[in-house]
Parts: sequence; structure tokens; C-alpha cells
Amino acid sequence: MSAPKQIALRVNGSEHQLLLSPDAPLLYALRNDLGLNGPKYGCGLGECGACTVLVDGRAARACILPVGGLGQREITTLEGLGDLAAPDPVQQAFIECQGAQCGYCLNGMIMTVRALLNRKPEADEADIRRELRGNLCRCGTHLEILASARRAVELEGQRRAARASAAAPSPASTGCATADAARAPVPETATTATVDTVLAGPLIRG
Amino acid sequence: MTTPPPATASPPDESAANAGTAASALVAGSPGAAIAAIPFAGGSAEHVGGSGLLHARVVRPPLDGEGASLRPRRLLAVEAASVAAIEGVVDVVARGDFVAVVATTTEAATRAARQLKARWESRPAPQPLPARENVVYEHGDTAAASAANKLSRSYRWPALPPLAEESANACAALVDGELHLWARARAPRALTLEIAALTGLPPARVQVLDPAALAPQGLPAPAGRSPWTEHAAADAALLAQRLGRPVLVTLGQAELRWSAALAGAQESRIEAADEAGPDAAARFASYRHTTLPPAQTPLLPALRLAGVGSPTAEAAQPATVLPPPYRAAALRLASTAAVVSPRPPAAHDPGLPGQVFAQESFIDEAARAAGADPLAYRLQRLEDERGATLLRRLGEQAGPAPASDDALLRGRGYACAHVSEAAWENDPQHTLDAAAIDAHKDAWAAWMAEVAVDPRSGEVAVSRVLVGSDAGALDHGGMRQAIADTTGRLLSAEPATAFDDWPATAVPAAPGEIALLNAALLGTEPPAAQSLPAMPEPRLAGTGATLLPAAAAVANAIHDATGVRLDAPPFTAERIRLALEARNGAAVKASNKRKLGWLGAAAAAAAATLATALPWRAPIAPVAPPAADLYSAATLARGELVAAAGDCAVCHTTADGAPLAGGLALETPFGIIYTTNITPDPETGIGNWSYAAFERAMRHGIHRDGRHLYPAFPYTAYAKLSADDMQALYAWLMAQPAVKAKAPETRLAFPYSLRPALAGWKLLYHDPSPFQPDPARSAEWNRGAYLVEGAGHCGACHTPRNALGAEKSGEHRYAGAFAEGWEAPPLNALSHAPVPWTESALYDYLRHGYSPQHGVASGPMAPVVESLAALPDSDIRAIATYLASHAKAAPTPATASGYANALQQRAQAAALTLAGPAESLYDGACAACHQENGPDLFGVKPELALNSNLHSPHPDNLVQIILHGIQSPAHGDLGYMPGFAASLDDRQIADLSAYLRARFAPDKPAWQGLAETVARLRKGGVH
Ligand code: FES
Ligand code: FES
Repeated sequence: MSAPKQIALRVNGSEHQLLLSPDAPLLYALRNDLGLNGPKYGCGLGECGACTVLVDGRAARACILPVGGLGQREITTLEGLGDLAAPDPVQQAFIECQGAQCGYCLNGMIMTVRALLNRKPEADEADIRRELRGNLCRCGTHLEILASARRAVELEGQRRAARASAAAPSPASTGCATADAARAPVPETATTATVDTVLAGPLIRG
Repeated sequence: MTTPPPATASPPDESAANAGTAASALVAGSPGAAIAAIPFAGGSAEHVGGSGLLHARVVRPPLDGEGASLRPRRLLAVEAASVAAIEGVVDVVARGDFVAVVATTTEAATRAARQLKARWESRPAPQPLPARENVVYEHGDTAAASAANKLSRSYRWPALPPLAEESANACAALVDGELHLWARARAPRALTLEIAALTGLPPARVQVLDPAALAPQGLPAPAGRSPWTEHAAADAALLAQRLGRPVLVTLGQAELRWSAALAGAQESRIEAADEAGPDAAARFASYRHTTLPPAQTPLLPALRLAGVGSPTAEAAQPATVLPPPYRAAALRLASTAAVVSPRPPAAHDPGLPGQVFAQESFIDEAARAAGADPLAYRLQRLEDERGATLLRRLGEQAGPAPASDDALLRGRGYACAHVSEAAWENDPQHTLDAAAIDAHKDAWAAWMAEVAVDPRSGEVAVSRVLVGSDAGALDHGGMRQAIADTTGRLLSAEPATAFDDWPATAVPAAPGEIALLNAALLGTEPPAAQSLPAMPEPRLAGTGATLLPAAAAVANAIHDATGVRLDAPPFTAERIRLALEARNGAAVKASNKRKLGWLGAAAAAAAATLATALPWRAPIAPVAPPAADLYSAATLARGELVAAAGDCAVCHTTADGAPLAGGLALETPFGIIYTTNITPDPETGIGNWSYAAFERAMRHGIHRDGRHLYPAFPYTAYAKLSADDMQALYAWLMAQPAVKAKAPETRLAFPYSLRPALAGWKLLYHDPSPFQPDPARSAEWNRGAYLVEGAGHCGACHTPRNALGAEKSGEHRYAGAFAEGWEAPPLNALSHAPVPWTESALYDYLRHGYSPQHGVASGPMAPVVESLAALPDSDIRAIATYLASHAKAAPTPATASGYANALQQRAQAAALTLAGPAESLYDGACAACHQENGPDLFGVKPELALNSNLHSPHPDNLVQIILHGIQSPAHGDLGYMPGFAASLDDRQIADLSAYLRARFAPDKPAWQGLAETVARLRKGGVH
């Protein structure tokens, strides 16, 4: 590993000056130096997706990106998407649909769906499956995650429509239908566990 | 100056007769009004900006001969099929020798024009016509003057070449049977007549419109100066008529240089004698000035190539000769033009700049021949008091003369011009009455220029310019820009396409200081009665006359500094250096590529080889490092590009070390060689190396102390560098921060430890002759060859070496080899790339570090691409052109993508037949980023089915990448790959590699001995 030097990182809209080896993975800098624990360490080899962040709006695996190679690119972590008061549509969808078991993979799932919607707001089932193909979930929560992603497409559409015109009618909702199952009721209040995982809250720190 | 169409400055009476036509031909006023006035077929000017517009590039014929006999070749055939595969190409148009490619975008047209195959045939040289002198003016007997103190000189005025990056464009469309042209024409009337002749339309149906009207349609801003936009307009007219659609023609550097070359040169011969005897007056006893106009016809290229005669040629403007402003007892002005006029030339007469240059250079020479100060000599002889006052004031403002020092020669020169302003030419609104125009026909302009010349390189910088004029207020930004442009053009390189031209450094810097002295400041204001009525700003009057003395002032200053007299612009570094060398009696250096024939080169090479065979060489005495400010910014910029092309920093820098401080271990079959410190530190670097020592090391592989250097330092390639590039590289290296760092010493085992043995090696394998361009190849190919064979030293890695470490030749050239534990793949017909390399794929790979049909630059190639980032696009294209000429026949882009699809489908089919633990390894380790139908992740997604490394007979590169990943890509946008050395064992990596081979290169035999390869490369580490 080469000698540490002063490195500027642009994360969630602010600039940070850190003394780091340019080879250090971005994931370590985010978690250890900036205290942003939304991104998780899963494999460290770019295989699982738990560490996903956005680099200039595209999904990137933070465990294999050296901090020295990022230049002025804008990095967004789960913390940068939204908070409890104003969640991102993707976060809102995962809360509504309870798309988590242990929640360890959720950061990657949410960030990857976010990147997909940045690129293609009207993503269909095939798009979602292809995009999430490289994200691993050890708990078998796949159906809930897919339902959350579908809901995210809806919420994203509503948000965009609302931005375009305040009076736009909201399209019919399919709620949190998993695969071909019947519609699941939308829970009145999300459980604390899901909210915290989705919003990078205290439960899953560390 | 390029000679314009002859009707440029038609006599006033004709102009008045044409006034009505001209007014209707030029749409004046706001762009909005202009658009409204354009009755487009499609309803509005949007038609031009929309999908209907076609983009064209012309292909000019190669030229034969030189000077008056310079002539374009005849077109035999053009193969439209050679560009048919390029997307967007609409048509290839040929008429006579005129050839153009039309496409939906300029990019497509440009590519097609470059690739178009055409066959040309040389024409026999024309018989020169005997020139006859026509006397324009004569008084006294100029033949009678004694020959004793007679001075006779001749000067040339060629068309100046375009500036780097300069281009010109124009647009044409057929609208309701009328041809509309949007071009910044200098002589709209003449252009109208010539285009009418070209298209066969009546002149009334040809309209020249203001190109500003097109800007709202999102079309490129009209670019270029007259007359080149007129050339583009004629090309566009021909194409628009042929295709029936609006056409935008862009002329690039090559076309502009073609036009400039064909425009030829005007010559001026001056012969004069000073009055002699005890009571001689300060005047010339006799003065004869004869001009020889350019031999070439000033025809627009489209007309000339299409074989259409000029309708304006018969009505050609009569030639004029400028009377000198100095007193002469007898005066004779003559011209070899067929038609001459006794009128003095107007300020915009195309023959004028060359005549002013000749007369003002001549007076300087006459003064020096008489041992007089050039300024005082002029002042004594000037006839007109206003001019004398202007020049005297300029001399007072100039202050003490600049002094030369060790590093730079400095000098000062003066020049003046006295011409008719002919204000009516710049008065389209007719705001001036006849009396006011008459009163202001005369204008004086004077220049003082100071230059600094580097005697080693011949480079000139105009350090200071003082410009005075009595034609009115000068001090506006437009004039400063015009002055800077003019001096820049005078110094810019010749229209050469030499293999060692570096485009980015071709533009000389603007003068260090420009001072404008207007009439009021000089106190030479014309009498009050003559003061001009208010003119609309920016005032054009004055511009023409004001710039006339520029060339002579700079030439005189160069002479003052160096004693070298240049009889024609441009005043390039090369011409000055050669003149200085010739004057100093120095032998013409081997580096003088333009003078050195084959014989000379062979002799030089033979001599050098003999000298090098000596087993030891004399040390070259250490010198103090050159001063930091010794070299000009242009030299340093050039040197930086040479260093980038040569990747110096790649080998002479360690991962954690200071740039160029050396110490990197290079593994060779003979042992480890450590690179040296090449910063200008006197103790541990090359700070005390003189240029001679540096050049000897670069060309002959000999250390300053006389030791022979191992050929791991690629002097076999660097020997090909031109002298200019070598000097610039030395200058740049010496200007880098000095770093004290002792690099580890290289200790090879016996017998390689015997450095004197290298003398014999060099005799066998080293050819120190400089690069020789191949005249049968294009300039681009030669440029590429120079970069690849010289600075780029591509063969050092990509050509196999023999048992003694010398690059093999013949069919082994670029046949691929191993370097630093990586395979440097073959670049010739042996390439194992599954989709054959094309020129554009090579460009993508070298420019961006990635070609979708081949993969990313990794291993030792990544820093090479990173280093190449400093080079301009044109150089990368030249490298691609040259390398592509070594490869298999390149497929068309369509065939290439067909190959790519087939390879991907084959890999998908192969995947179905494979299973087992290796597939799990692939799914886990590789698939997330590499699978064909996977997520979009930051960075590129190289298709393994197309990756050359999987198709190579050697698994080394694949194994290197799996082990070590890609941690420092050529460019941050490419993304990163983790190394799996710590998580997969040798067996797993071997299994995974075998799986990848079977899946993505199913037609290739399985690799043997994979586990051993992995074990070996795991130990070796990576560069
Ligand atoms: S931790 Fe980054 S992909 Fe698994
Ligand atoms: S890993 Fe536990 S929810 Fe996906």
C-alpha cells in the first residue's frame, strides 16, 4: 500500500479532506473515517454488492474502488438518499413492503435500484431482475426485495409526476405484490428494524 | 497573402454600377431580418439547420512540382465503395478533378474523406511563359547609375499558411431555382460571378448571404478568413446543386494548406544606388522595383478542379506597383503582369503587403550597406513630412535598443508604409461624401518590432511591438488582436506536414508587449480640415494600412539580432537555425532532415556506427545545469510532449518515488536493471550533462562518463528522434525539479556485466541513423511511424528479441513478446485478437484505454496510455494509422460488429455445456461485473468473449489480471478490478482460467501447465 496523502472526497454533497493511502478502498474511508455505515462490508471483492454506493449516480462497489481514483466524482451513500422525515422513494418502497430479513444486503439492494431508476425510471420486471442479479442476499428475502423494487418504480413515477405538475392524478397502485402472489396489505407502520436498515439507522451500525 | 479573385477591388465606377446588385445580394441588419429574407423551400431557414442539411469534406488532389509549376494531379477513378460502410455517408461526388464526400454529419464526412480511395495521375510540367516587363512609371534614367554602389535584392511573398487549428466553412442551398450561399465573402460580387460560371446559373440567381443568419439554426459559427471561406462557398455551391440539398462544407488544415501552396508567391526585385560624390544629397541616384505576380491563376479550387475557366479573369484588376516613399533622382516601377495600371495600389490591393515587405527590407539592407543607422537613413530620405514625423516619434517612444546576452540574441527593426486608404471601400453605408474620401486617401503606418532569438534552436519571439498610424484612433481590442494574429502568422511554421511537427506547439505566442500610438499621441494628426466624420465602430479604415509594415519590421529586427536576412515570410525557427549554422560555418547537422538525402543519411549512419564500435568512449566533461529560463515556453511545451510520447516517467519513476528520479527494477532475461535518476540533480541525476552528452546517450547509448548503457534503455528507438525533438526533450528534462535520489546500481552476472562488450553488440544491432520518412506514404502514416519507431519505442516490448537481447526484424517485427511478466501481444498479422483491429479500435484503445471489441489497457500498457493522454488527437490517429498498416486487413466497422455478435453467441452456447466448481467460481468472482446481461456498474464492462487475452496462446495476461486485478487503470472512468491473489489459490485460479478459456474462446486449444503459470506469476509480483 502506498504512503498516505491528503485526499479530497465529495460525499453526499460535502467535501472531506482525509489523510489516506490512495490505494485504500472507498468503503473503509466511508465507514471508518466518515462514520457512514450504510454501506456494508460483505466480501471485499466486488462479488456481493453489500457495499454499493453511487458514483456520479451509477452503482459502484465501494470495496474495490481505491480512494485515490475518484477525483471530483460525486459519491452518494444510503445516508445521502433520504432520512425518516423525507425518505427517497426507493427507501419508502422498502419500508412499505418490508423488503428485509436481517437487512445486511439492503444497502446494496436500495442503492442498486436507485441507480437503475436514475437511468430508467420506468424499469420493468426484467430490468429489475437483471440489475439485482449481482446483489446477494443470504436470508432468502428475494421476493420481498423484488416487490419493494416494483413499488419503488411506482413511487418514483409518482414523485416525478408530482414534480412535473402538482395536480397530476396518482396512478393506480399495485402495492407490494410479490411475484405472482396476491396483494399484500400495506403495513400501517413499518417496523423499527426495517426503517433503521433502510435509512441506515442505529440498529445495523457497525 | 493568398491572391483573391481578381475583381476584389474593382475600380470605383464599376462598383457604383454594381451597387444595386451588391446591396440586394448582401442581407444586412439583424439575423432575424436576414432569416425573414431567406425564402427557403422548406418554408424557413430551419430547413438548413434541420435534418435536410448535409455535411461535406473535399478531397483535394495531391500536388506535383513546385513554385510556378506546382500543379494538382488528374483524377483517374474514385472508389465510392471504400467508404460505403461508414455510417452516415450519403454520396461521393466527383466532377473533373473535384472530389468530395457528403454525409449526414461532419464527423462521418471527415472519416470518409480520410478513408476514401482515389487514383490520381501526374500531369506533365507546364512550359513557363517568358516574362515581359511592363513599365508602370518611370522618370529619370535608372539605367545610368554607376554599378559601383548598386545594391540589388529580391524578396518573395508567399501565401501564408493557415494557423494551427484554423478552418473555414460555408453553406449553400438551392431555393426555388436560386442558389443561396452563406459565406463571409470578401468580394461577394466576384464570388457571385464565379459561382454562376461554375453552376451555369445566371448571376442574378446566385445570392451571397450573411452567414450570421445561420447561427440561430445551431449551425457552426462561420469560421475562417477570406479568401478561404470563398473556396468553401464554391465547393458548397457545386455540391448543393448536384445533390439538391443544403450542404455545409468545412475546409480543414490540409485543404487550407493545399490552397495556400497553390496560391504561389509574389516576387519583388529591387535595384538601387545611393547618390555618390562629395556633395551628394540624401537620396537614391536610381531606384528600380519590378514585381513578378504569383504564376498561379487565382482561381477558386472548385472552378479549377472542375475545369471551369474564371469569368472574371479577363476583367482582372490591373497590377499596380507601390512607389517607394524615399527620394530618388531616377525611379522605375515595372511588373511582369499582363495588364498594369499607373494608379498607386489601394490599401487592400493584394499585391501590396509583399511590395511593402520588399521595399522596407531593402531600405534596411541599403542602410546597413552604407554603414548607417536604418532609422536615421530612412528619416533622411523620406519625402513626406508626415511620415518622417511619425517614424521619428516612434523612434523616440522606443527608448534604448535591447541588448543581447549569452542565451538570447535581441534586435530591433523598423518599417513604414504610405498608401491610399481608399475609404470608399469601407463605407458601405455611404456616409462619406466624395470630398471627405478624397481628403483621406493617404495613410501612414509605421512599426517598431523587437525580437529575441534563441541561437541554438532558431526560435523567435516578438517581445515588443510599437505601432503608429495617422489614420485615426487605433486603440481598440480588434487592432491588438489583428497585430497579434499578424505576428503569429509571420512566425508560424511552414505549411509542412513533417513527421516531427507537434501540433500543440505550432502557434507562436503573441508579442510580449503591444503599444499602439495613435495620431493624437504622435502629434501627426492630419490638419483639422481633414479630420474624418464619425465612422461606425469598429473602424475598419486603417486596419489594412496599419498592418502592412509588420513583416518587414520583424524581418529587420531578426537581422539586427542575428545578422540573418530572411527574404520571405514565414520566419520559422528552422530557417533561422539553418542560416545561423551556415553562417557560423558549422557542418550541417545530420538532424537537418529536409536537406539530408539518402546518401548523406547512409554516410552519417556508417560513420556513427564505426565510432560506436570502440569498446570505451571518452567522457564528456560535466557542465553546470542550464539556467531555468534559458528555453522558451514553446520549446518546453514541445519537450513535454516528446517526453509523454516516450513514456520517460513510466520507467524512470517508482510507485512511491519522485517523478523521473529512477530506481525502478526492470526484469530482463539477463538480470535486474535499475532505471536511473534523470532529474537535473547534478550528483545523482543528469544535472551536469551537457546537451552533447545527453544526445550521445539517447542516440548511441553511452553514459556521460563514457560507459556503454544496456539496451533496456531503448536508445535503439530514441536514435530516431529528430534534432528539434531531442533538444526540446533535453530542455524539458532540465527544467524539471531536481531530486537527489541515488538509484540502486545495476549488477548483472558475468558475462553481461562486461559493459565494453556492448560496443560489439551495438555494431551488430544498433542503427543510429535518424528517422527517414517514406515519401510514398501519407504524412499521417509517416508521423505515426516516427512516433512508434522513435519516442514511442513500441517495438521494445512488442517485438521479440534474439538471444542477445536485440529486437528481431523482418516478419518478427511487432510479432509479440514478453515484458515484465506480461505478454505484449503481436501487433502484426499474428495478432490473436478475435475481432481484427481496425484503425478506429486502435485509436479508442490508445486514447481512452479501452476498446469495446478488445478490452482495457492493463499491466504495463495502462501507464503508457496514461502518458499518451498528453498527445493531441491527431498524433493518436497517426499512431493508429501506422500500426493498422502492420496488421491483418482491417474489417469494416459493420463486419467487425458482426464478428463480435457471433463471438458473444458462441460463448453463450458454450456456457450451456460447461458446469462444475469452476462455473461457481466464475459466477461468484467474475459474473457480477462481466456477465453479458448483468447490472450497470461504474466503469466499463469488458466483454470476455471479445477479450484478446482469452484468445492468446499464452495465459499470462489473464492470470496476471486475476491475481492482481487492475488497480491503476489508464483512466479513472474505466473502473477497477480487485485482485484475487489473496482469496483464490493456485488451483482455483488455474481452474477458473481453464473455464474462461473453454467458455469464451471455445475454438482455441486448452492452455497447458496453468497451475505452474499461476505459481510463477504469483511469485513474480507485478510492475
Ligand atoms: S463488499 Fe463490496 S461487493 Fe461485497
Ligand atoms: S442478506 Fe439478510 S436480508 Fe438480504
